[in-house]
Amino acid sequence: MLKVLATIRKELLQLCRDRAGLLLLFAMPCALVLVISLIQDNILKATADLGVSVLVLNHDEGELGEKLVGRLEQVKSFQSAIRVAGRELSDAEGRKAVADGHCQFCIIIPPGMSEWVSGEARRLAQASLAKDGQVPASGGTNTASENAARLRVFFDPTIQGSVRASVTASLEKAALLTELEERAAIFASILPEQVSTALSESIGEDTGVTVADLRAAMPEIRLDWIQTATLGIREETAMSRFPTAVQHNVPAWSLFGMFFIVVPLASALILERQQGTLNRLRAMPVSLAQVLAGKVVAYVLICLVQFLLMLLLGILVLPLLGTARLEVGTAVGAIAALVVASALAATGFGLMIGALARTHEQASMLGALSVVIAAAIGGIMIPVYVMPPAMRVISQYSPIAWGHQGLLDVFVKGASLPDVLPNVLLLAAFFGVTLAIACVFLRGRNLTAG
Amino acid sequence: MNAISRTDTPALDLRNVVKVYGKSGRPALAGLSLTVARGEILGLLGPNGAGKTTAISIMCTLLPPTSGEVRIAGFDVRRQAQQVRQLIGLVPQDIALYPQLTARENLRYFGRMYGLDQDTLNSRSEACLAQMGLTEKADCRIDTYSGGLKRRANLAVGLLQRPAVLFLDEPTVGVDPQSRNMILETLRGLRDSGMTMVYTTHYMEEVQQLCSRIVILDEGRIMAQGALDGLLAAHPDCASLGEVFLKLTGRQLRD
Repeated sequence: MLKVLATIRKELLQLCRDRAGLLLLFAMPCALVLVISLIQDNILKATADLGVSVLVLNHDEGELGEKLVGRLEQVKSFQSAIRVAGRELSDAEGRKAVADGHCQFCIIIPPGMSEWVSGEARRLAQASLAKDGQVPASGGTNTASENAARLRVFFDPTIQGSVRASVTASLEKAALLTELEERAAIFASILPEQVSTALSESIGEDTGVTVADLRAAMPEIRLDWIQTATLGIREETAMSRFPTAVQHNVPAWSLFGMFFIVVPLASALILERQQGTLNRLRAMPVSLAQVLAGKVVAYVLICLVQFLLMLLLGILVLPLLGTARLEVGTAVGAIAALVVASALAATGFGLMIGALARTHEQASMLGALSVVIAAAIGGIMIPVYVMPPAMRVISQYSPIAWGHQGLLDVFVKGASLPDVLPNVLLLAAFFGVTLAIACVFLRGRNLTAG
Repeated sequence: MNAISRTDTPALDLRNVVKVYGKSGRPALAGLSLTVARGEILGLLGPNGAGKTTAISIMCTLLPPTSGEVRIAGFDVRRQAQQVRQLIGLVPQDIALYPQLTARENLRYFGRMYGLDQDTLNSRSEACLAQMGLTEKADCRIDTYSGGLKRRANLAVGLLQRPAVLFLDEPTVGVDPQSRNMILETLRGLRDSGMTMVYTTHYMEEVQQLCSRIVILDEGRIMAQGALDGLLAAHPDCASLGEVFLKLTGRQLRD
């Protein structure tokens, strides 16, 4: 035990005196947590609330343009971001406003839209009531008509696709409702006329009933029901809460930082091999297991300090910068088990890289690259659910994903230790396998002949 | 009775030791047989690639021999490696120290690895530091040391547990004359105290000054062995050990 304690002390002393290593172990994950959390916090807010600026240019002379603007103003996510202008701004000026970044979208209601929509509605209503099935000719196919029939949207190409789709969907809905209302109104206006005419022709004038009598006898057609929705949508999250950017990023980048100990650990092991200290130890009455146990404990302690530091950042510092406070739930045992298992997995991986690589450069490159790839496929940088199906399958094999998913479950879903036990066991198994590989290779490393 | 305490047991006994690396086919050691008595200092000479470091690595339990038997103070290096490691000290060719730690911290760490208790560790560390003239620099990091200081610190660690058999693999490479003199003085003192040593070097004068017996090794085989006078007598055409060495191992370059 004293030999293991001495090795722990030696490792910690070496780490404390390695400024570059300390920066890599502590400053890098702190910076990542702060920066990425702040960036993603804003992105998530923009995505959720569509907090984008929308300019509406109403060039229509009729009332339908006004109605459409009114409907757009009622879109919940536009309410604080919409700006309406009339004809004082041209299409080109609207496009420039987007290009210059003054707004992300510019919706242009074309001139003549009301006239076009009304004309088309009348034509279609008449067609639906025509006895001979003949459809009156369209209002026109010239350029002016085509322009009147097209709402135009200029958008910032850097805006997220989901935000763009949401704005377009809102516009389509408002336009459809406006057009539907207009068609219904016109249909209601010509229906009594058509019915009266048809009846008078059928009944004849001998009955003494006039068209005017028939029209007077017909009920008035009301149209306010068109806007009354009978089917509603109620959104509910599958989880008790949504993860905030802080809840996603603090564990994500903490795990990334923890796994980045692979680089200093593997480098230290290679230096020991190259400097001959490992061979000197092997000629002493100390087992490889004792030496490696000391290293594992020392680096696990470092990982725990890293994670604690990241938690404190999430709880104390990030809220000061305007993000949500990190909520970690109440399952302390589950968090501890996941963090210790992740730290062990990272340490085992570092020892394996240190045993497999032949040079410091190999270890640095292999270690850093493998951790970045494991983080990427593990959903640290991009959530797993937006990945292609094949990558979603691959992500299940990333130890960083096991740790991250477990911590998210605890933080967001309130998972307990039994819930995250599979993740803990996977991480522990990963530690066991990588440590075993490290032992095999370290035992097999021979001195060169001389 | 502990084997080391038995005066009739040789400190070191190698019998027909063969070492073949991987599938190379060519043996690094080809049937090496050697006995070193207690208190003897054996000088192991040989050109690069002769098998010196391989022989020391096998004797220090770092490498298993392909065949043959190696015993240190009666303990088999393969089956009783832990007992062997309690008895030996190794001063490797490399500066096998932690550069970010001080000399004192290095000594304390390696002392712990030898299993020394706190009091013994303290007294031995200070004694070794003093013996190698490192007391004043004991709290300086190794990576601030000169080459000579590093070599002395490297030797200090090898002496920590007062080994029954000390293996020294080119311990004076690249040091200034003053440090070399101090190292040789220290080794002479250890010889006089009865410590058994196996010493490899390319410096003939060191072997002549220090070793009671010399083995010239080439291509894993013993080309000649004996005391300095005996070797010179066996080769009357050679005026020095260096000439005997070149006569037996050839003048062609090995690297």
